Amino acid sequence: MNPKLSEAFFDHLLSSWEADDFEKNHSLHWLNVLEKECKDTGLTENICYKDKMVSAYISSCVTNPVSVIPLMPSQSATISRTLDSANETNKSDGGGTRWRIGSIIQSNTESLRSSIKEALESGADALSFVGDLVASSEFMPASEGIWWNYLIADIRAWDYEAALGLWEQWGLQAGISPSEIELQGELWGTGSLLIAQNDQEYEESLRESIRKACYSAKRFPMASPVLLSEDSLLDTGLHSWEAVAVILTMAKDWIDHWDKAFPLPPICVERCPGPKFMEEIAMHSVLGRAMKEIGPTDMIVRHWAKPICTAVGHDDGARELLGMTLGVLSSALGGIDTVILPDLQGSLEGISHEDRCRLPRNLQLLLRDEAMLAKSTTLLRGAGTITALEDVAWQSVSEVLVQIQASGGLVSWLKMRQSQTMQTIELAGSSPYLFPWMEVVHARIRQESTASVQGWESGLPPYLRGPYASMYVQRPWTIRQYAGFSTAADSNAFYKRNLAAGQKGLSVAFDLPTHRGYDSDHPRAVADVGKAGVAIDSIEDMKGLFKELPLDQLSVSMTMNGAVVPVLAFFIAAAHESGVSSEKLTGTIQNDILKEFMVRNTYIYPPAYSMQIVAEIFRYCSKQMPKFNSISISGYHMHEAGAPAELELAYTLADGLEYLRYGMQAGLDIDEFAPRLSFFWATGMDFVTEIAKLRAGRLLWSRITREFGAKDPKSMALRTHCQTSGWSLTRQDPYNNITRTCIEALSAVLGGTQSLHTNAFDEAIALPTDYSAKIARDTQLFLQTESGLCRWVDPLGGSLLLEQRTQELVRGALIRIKEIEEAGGMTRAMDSSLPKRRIEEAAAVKQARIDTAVEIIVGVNAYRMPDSAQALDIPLLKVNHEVVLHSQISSLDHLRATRDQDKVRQSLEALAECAHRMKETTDCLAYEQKQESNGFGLMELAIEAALQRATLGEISSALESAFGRYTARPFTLQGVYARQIMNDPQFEAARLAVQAFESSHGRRPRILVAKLGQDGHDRGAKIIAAGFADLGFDVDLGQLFQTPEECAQQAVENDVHWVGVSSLAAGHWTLIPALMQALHDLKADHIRVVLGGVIPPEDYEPLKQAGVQCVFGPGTRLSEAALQILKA
Amino acid sequence: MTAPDLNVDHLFDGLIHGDRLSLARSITLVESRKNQDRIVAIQLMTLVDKHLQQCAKNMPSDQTLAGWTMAITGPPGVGKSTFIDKLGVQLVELGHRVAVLAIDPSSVRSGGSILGDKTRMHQLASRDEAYIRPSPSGSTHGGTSAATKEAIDLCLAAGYDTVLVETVGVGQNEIAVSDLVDWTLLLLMGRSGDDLQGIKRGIVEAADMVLVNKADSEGYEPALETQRYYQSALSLFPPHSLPGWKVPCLAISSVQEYGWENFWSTLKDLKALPELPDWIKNKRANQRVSSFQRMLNQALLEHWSSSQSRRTYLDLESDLRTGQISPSQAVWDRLKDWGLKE
Repeated sequence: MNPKLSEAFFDHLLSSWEADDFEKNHSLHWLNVLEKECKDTGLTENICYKDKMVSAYISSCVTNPVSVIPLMPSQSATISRTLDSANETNKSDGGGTRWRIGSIIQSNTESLRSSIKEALESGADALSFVGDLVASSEFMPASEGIWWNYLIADIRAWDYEAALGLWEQWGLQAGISPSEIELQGELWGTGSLLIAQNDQEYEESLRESIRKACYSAKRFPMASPVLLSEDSLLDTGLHSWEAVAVILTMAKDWIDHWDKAFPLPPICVERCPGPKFMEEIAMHSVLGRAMKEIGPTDMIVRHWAKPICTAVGHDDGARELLGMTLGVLSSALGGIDTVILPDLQGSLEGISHEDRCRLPRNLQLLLRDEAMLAKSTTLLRGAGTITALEDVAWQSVSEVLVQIQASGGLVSWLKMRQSQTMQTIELAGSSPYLFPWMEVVHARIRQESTASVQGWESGLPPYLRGPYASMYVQRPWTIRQYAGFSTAADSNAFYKRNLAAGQKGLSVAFDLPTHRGYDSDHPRAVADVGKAGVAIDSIEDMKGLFKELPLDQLSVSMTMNGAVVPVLAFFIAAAHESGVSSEKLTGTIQNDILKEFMVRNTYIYPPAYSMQIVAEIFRYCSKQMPKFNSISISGYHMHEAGAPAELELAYTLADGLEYLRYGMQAGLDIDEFAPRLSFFWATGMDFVTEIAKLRAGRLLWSRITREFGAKDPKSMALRTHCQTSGWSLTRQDPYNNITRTCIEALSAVLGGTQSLHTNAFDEAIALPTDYSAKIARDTQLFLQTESGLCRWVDPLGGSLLLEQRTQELVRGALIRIKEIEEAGGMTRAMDSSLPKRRIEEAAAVKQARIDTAVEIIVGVNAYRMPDSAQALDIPLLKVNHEVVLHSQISSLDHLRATRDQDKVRQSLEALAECAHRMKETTDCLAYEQKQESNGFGLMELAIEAALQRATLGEISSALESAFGRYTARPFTLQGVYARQIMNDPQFEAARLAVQAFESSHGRRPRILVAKLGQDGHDRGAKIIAAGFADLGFDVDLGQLFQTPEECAQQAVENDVHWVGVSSLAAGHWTLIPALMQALHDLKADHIRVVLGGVIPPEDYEPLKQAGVQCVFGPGTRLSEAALQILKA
Repeated sequence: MTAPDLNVDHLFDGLIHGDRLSLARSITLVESRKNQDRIVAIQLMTLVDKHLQQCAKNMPSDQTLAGWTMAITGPPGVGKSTFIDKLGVQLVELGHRVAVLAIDPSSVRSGGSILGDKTRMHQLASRDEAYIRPSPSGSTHGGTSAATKEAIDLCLAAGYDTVLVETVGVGQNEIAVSDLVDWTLLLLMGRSGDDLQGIKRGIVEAADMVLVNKADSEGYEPALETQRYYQSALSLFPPHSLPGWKVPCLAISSVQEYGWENFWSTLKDLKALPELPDWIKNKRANQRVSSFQRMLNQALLEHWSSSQSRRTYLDLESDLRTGQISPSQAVWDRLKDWGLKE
């Protein structure tokens, strides 16, 4: 029994993008699935049900949305819209997503000039001046030398005519023609409407303004006197569809009254989007398109946005950044051409005035350059949900237009409107709002509910659009923050605080010794105990971890792969002792050993035996833990090691294939265990690709499981957890990371994840504190409650760009999966290191692209913080390592002293004996035959040992006595980095420095690149090794998991000049002094130590004083690092 | 940054007492391309050479094989490091002290290299009786670094009775390494029929013993096939210079036990050959001469290219390239310059 993917399978998928026969003809119906999901949660007949149906139904309309939502006959005679334009891009008028980044300049700023300069240097291309500076004597000198003809200046508060005079004067001096000067003033606008007492006054102001504007329109064709902003309208309590109708009416009035003898100047319409992502996009787009309809074809419309970011009564700077992120993103996608963000108002720990100005600008740069929105201009073309929403939005607007017309004039309408009670006004900021026209859609659905909506729907194979029919409409994704540190008691308290603050599931991070199967008192463990996670040595620790937490109600995810047997045994045994039986347990154990061998390195036993253990756990869980996910097949770590999306997809799914095979070989039926397999993706900064990745993964998995014989649709549905990329976070300007994480979380949500972890912004510096963890959690709460995204299923589905990217990923991944299948599956393919090599090659290429600023990282290789800027003073988490270690050791001593030694010994002997049997079976290749489905009973024996108080290290050693401990064979690639970076001046400079070193020292510089302790993340070490070799260094590689003493010994025997230690797991304060001491003991003080990785900035100086030659944080260019260490 | 001063007597003293730091620094010293270092290195090597000769004299005649040096060579990816790891641990368990010199190729373009062999021999590396030193190959051809011979002698002087030299075997270059050691072991991988023809005869000719590695799990069948092929091919080769020795070809596994019994019994047969001691003695004597020749070659070339102004040297290179002067004439001219020829 060794299922394989056939040649025909690949051929078909590579050549066709059609639903296959099964997908077309299966008996499931989307509405039935939806209704069943609603019933399951008891929401059938209450009021929510109606809304949910509406949203889910709209979301499902991808292929032909217009046909199911008929437009009302247009009642507005003046404004018309054709159905054809519904599928056209809504930003053909040049805005695109390369929008202008607007920055607000405060007139009261003491150093006006430096504010302007700083804004321009950090990427602004539109300046918005607050207050009237036209008469100010400081404005002239402040603006000297600024190229106003490349900038747009927003002078809405200025005396318009006086400002024109001022700019003309400059123009003469600088040789800029007035026709090139882009200004935005407010000679007339929504402000004029609000001060008008009646319709006559309104009309007078219109005529008066036009008279004035005609005068300057010829000389300044790019200066706009009209600013129609939602801003002041929303303040009066209007809904945004009403405000948009008012703006359209005013624009129409202006155009109609304009003296045709003069050229029509640009008109600016400004929206103030809130966080309602989809609705705002639709509204932007409706306004943009309507504006095109009402004026002459050559009319210039400035389509601006000024997102509303501050919530009333909030002083939370992080919340404000999140609001800005969604506001900018919806604006960019909705076709806005200039986004103006105010300075940050709310509080954030330790930020200065400069930071408040810079962060909003950075946020736009991040979206434009890192999230690559500038390359995704056509993202919304074809997206059915958006198109449907546009229809709804437009109907809502057009009804107001009719009302306005009927009431005789704008001012009259406003008066009437304000006299009505504003029922929903307080809801506008805090709950999802529906356009009023939604009701009509709902009625329509009732009629059509019998009609067929078959095709690629959510909840039906191949699950392209989501594993559930109703997705978040019914149940939002689980907010599952990965956390754990120091002792079980500390982590327990932390979990309780988080659950109280809105987190829904737990995700346990274990420390490295636990991962590697060492008790806390093991000599190899000392430096890492309680550092990157919680230390768990026995059932007692596990009980402490979940003390007073209801394990029968709480879903618990455990990131454990190497020591999966003892940890799962502790968990089950701890639940048992607290009265919860194993079939009630919900959650996930990561149990994905293949990716450990590929990238993460926290394995213990050799691959073949490790895979047997995985199969054992499948067997145990399928029989005893029906609600527990027996594996989380993880692409995350591949992504973080540098794998691009198609590699992450391909290798994760190929791992999944391998697990399917092992499970089936262990005698399980595929439908018995496949529904309990879950996945784990990373979401990085490439917005569209990351959304596409989740969708492509589901499609592929559905087809793969069916090819393997799955019959149950649940086996075919890929359910996944996502985590935002830790690698994408930067040490420089760490508050940028809030925005990064928000963008990444958004792509996970748009891609349809089932649960999500958002990283804390300080993770590139240290472990998260309560403060940073709160911001990370709030990011998800914000997305769930305020963005309105939970209302839509696969909201961007149907988007031509997204579907195309999804297809590309499917094909790209298939080619790689095929490669692995041809090598005989992942276990065999790993022998040749092919997957590892491909990932590392991609990582080296990426590093070189970043080092040469081909790929932009804001704050690192572009738009750096000015040197003068103060480093942020953020409170960082410190774990008192000595205390943790001491506490673990004393409880271990206590445990060993109080348990029944004979029983422990017997249980461990039984376990070891079982492991030996497993080993023999594996060695004899007996796994080629189908085994007895009752397996070896390894888990049962491990649980017995756990109950007898055997420790993690003891259980692990019992297995090790049979399987042995695996040691990886290191290798690295040479030349990849150099090929990418050739001709970079700094690279050449470093090369020359190496040559100079060689001639003065008689040999090339030689460095030992080492990882110390139990930290297995070696992407950094590998890139450094490969890059330094390319620079001309002789590079020695240290074994993973070395002790400081072993490392020093190797350094001496190889007689290197430096030891370069890469540290990501906070172990440096223990390991570095130990290394220096070991070198000293070997009389090798001449060997210098350099350190790189995640090191808190305040540790730099003390480390240097302790004798470390250089400390490098994440984001240091390799050539720069090389130059620095050669210099000393 | 500067290392402690290199004092020849201290170094030598540390070396012969088995101090690993002294050995490490001595190898660095002989590898150095700096002139001052070279002077110290010559003094050190003179002491070492004397010491080794003394040791050889005092050696009882049945101990000829102490101080055994062996090259392990073969194409990239054949599993040399894994093989040495396994071999080394067994040697240590037999009571030997084992030094491994692993020569890694340097990149032609950057000059840099990644020296990962030690990590691939983690079992051996953890033994106190073993010393492993990876070295970059530098610009010398032959899969050996310029100072390999001297490094071998340093290891012997430091009390390692078995020195294994791992080299990348590509093309003809292995011939050079066989000139540095007592015994050359060629490692090959199992491959299928047609590919067998591709292996260069020259490599095989330089070998004293051929092993086909990876005779385990999936590699087992191809390894045996390859072994049979070479076994018959080797029988057609001219006889080995050691009377009574026919170059054997064995299949072996570096991760399992297969082939090792055979390997050790073959070595036992070798040691039982009565002609072996004289053959070794003779070979070593000849190698001293060829060492001199090689070093002289290199020294003259280095002398010429560094003592002359770089410009003259480059000019000559360019004249040679463009055909302005014949290589023979150029040599003659140099000799005349140095007053060695009329």
